[in-house]
Amino acid sequence: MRLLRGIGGRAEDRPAVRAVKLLLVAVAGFFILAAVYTSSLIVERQDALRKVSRYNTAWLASQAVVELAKLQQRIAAYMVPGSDVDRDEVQLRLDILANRVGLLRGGEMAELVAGNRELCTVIDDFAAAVEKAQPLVDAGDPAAMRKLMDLLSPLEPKLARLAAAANVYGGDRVAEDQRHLSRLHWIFSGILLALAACGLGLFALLLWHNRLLQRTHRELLVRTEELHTQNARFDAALNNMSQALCMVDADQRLIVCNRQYMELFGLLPGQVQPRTPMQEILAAIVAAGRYPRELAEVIHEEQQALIRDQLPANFFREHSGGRALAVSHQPMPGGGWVATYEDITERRRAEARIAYMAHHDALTGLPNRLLFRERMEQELGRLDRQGGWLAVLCLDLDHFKNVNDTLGHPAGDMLLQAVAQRLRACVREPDTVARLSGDEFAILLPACDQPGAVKTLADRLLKAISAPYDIEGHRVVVTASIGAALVPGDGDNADELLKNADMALYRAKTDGRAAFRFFEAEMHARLQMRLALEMDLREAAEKGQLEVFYQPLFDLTLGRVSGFEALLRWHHPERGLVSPVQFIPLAEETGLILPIGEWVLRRACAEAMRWPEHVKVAVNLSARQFRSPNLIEAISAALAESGMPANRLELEITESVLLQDDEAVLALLHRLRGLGLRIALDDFGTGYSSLSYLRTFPFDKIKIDQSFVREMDARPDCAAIVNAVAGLAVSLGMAVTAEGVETAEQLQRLREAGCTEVQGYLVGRPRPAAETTGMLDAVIGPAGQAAGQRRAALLGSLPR
Amino acid sequence: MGRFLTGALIGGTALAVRPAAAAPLPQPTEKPILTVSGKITNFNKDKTAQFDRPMLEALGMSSFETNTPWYNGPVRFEGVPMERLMQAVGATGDKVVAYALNDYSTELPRSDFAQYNVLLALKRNGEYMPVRDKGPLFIVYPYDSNPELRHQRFYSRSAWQVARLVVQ
Repeated sequence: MRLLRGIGGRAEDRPAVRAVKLLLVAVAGFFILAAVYTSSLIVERQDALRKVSRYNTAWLASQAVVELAKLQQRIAAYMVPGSDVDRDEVQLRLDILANRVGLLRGGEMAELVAGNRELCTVIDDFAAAVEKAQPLVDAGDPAAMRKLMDLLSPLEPKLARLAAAANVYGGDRVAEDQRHLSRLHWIFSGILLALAACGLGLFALLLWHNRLLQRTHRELLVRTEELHTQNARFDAALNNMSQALCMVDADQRLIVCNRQYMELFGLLPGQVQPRTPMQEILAAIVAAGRYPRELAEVIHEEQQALIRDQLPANFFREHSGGRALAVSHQPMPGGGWVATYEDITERRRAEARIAYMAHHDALTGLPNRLLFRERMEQELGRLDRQGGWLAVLCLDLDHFKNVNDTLGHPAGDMLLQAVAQRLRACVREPDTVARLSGDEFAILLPACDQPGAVKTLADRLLKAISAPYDIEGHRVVVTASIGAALVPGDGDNADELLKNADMALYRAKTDGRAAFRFFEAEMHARLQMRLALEMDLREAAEKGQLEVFYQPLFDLTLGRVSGFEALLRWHHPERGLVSPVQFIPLAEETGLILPIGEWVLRRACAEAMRWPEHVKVAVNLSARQFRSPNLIEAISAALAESGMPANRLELEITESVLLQDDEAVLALLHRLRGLGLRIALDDFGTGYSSLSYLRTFPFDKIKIDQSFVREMDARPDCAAIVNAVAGLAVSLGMAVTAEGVETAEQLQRLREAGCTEVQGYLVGRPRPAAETTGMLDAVIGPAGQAAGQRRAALLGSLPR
Repeated sequence: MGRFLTGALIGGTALAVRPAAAAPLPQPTEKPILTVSGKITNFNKDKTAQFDRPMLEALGMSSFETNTPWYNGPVRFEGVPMERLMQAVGATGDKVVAYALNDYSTELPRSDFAQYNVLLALKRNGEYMPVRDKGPLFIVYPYDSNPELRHQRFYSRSAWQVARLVVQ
């Protein structure tokens, strides 16, 4: 591409050049005029010179005198008889004189005499005398000769006078001619000087002109250089841009294209010469075969439309084979156009990949929450128009965390992949299975005919998932809980549906897991209540609605109360006494358990200081508290604050705490032990009771869950478990506390089993702090003393 | 000869070319009007060549028209070319002194004759010239044919009322 810029020269030079030209013309004109004038001067000079060299008038006049004298002399001789002068001689002399008259009358003599009457008279007299002389000569007699002599004599002085005058006239004329010549000389010299000056001027003008020309020439060179530079830059810019570019004129012929254009379409330099018709280039592009014919032609047609309408546009076209080209078309003034082309095949692929990644879960390849929501919106929109049913299922693996914790994350991931596979196998083509997060899946059933079908599918899913898995050689069994929300009925937007399905799932979980539940409006109400309860709980501590109750622990060996277990109570202003079963899980979930737990710890320690030294205080630690990084600080602070010796504090932890990372838990347990306090394993036998726990950490005490104690009378297996645990504890050197002791029979059997401590209504119910001192002296009496009322839920006795 | 021819052509009159070889001079039949003397080889009287008007005219006439200082306007002269006259008398000198009736004399280089086609004129505007009007013989140059001739030097060589020529 060559861009041309106008070469105008410097604006101020143009008038200068014009002035120089005008001056040159003027000087040339002056030269011509001077030449003409000089020529005329030379003619004039020649004329003057001719006059100077004219016939000498003085001579002319003086000859008259001589000729007159010769005539007189001949006449005189003729009058003398015997002389050799005859009449012819006289006649000849008269003729000669007559000739003189003519001479004096003509030519320059005429000029001489013209202004002088005297000289005119002389010549007239002379002529008259010659006239009169002829008859006398003709007569030829002596008398006539005498008369002739008389006639001629007076002429002598007159002719002499004429000669003198002619002489003077001649001198004057010479002087005048000389003056004239002199004047001509001066004029000539002046002109020569002027011409010389003009010549110098001309020389100067030519120098100036030359300089202007040189400057213009230099500027032209500079401009040319600039143009070259500009062209080079333009070429560089053109060939260094990333896109392919071509510029086409109004006749649809190529103006220029860059290297990338040739490379993109596989064209040879010979095929993209300027002025090549675009139709030929299209054919060459198709022939080169870099792009499918259809793609090249569809883009060509698109551009033809743009050319017709003189419109700019950015667009791209993709071939089914995957090749994609982006085109930026821009019309140019005058009917041409410029376009850039870019192969966006890779970009399109990447975009597709990114779009896929943005919408799919990397682990399982299932749609993710984003895509799931999009599909939901899509189906809800369709439902609005067409009606029908739609179901959203939320699915969650039960205790999936345990798999991760015990087998490791890679195994967990493999399990998720296997689950995803099974889920996919269960659903039909239009259904969408998505992984929302972690072990949370969702299924969209866009065309379920009725709730019954949903239930059938859910059951099928539960069954499919619960089949054993083989993960790296481990046999893993896992169950799932499913909640479902339906349209119409359970919401009309994606958020609400998901929330409701999740709520149904929550219900399935709380109802014992491995179950399926439809959403019910009541669930929503319960959730609302739960939220309200949470709000109240946040303020409960501040408002003094919380209170710590104490339940005595009775040492069977010493036969006295050896300590109290601290139990939290909430006096709600409206609801009255709220069950720990209700608010403790809530506190766990919301994290409120941490400040509340610390508060309980401090209260319990402070209270214990009012008791005798041998009476201990037991405080429950929830899993959440156990994971808190400032657990040690909180315990130390409570001890320091109250001044209670550490050995009087007993922490009760449940097995669920131990399910976590063994090393860290063990380290923490040892640190707690390092403080000097005691650690009891609470609710033993209800969860994942594993004897290995007892081996890895030397607990100070094991508490046998009340469920075993309660059933001991009726079920021999429970009695066996109690006996075994008690025996085990004794053999490991640990104390054993039985919970929920209500009857004397139970007490007796527990005593026989080897339990060292009991707790329950038989010993005493949880009471406010003020009443603790009254229970210190309690003695376990006969069965009648046992309370019939069931023990209220305590910390650590949450449903599992 | 060529030079003569050129001069004749300039004069404007076609001439019959006569043989240059000098024929013996006849005797004048009328009153002689011209006497040629000096270095000549053809005589007809006492070492001189005498010419009357018919003899001169018999030598062959030539003519031209020219402006002169003595007449207003152009004048046609007719007469014998001087060079032809010189050949007729067998002139061997390179100078000719012309003597007029009034004893005026002037010297002419012989080379002028062929170079300028100098004419010994007998007629002016077709009329024989009388003594009263510069006759009977007038040596004239064709002044208009060459600017060089319009000069006092040639005007003074132009003698009228010529009576004698002396070849030197």
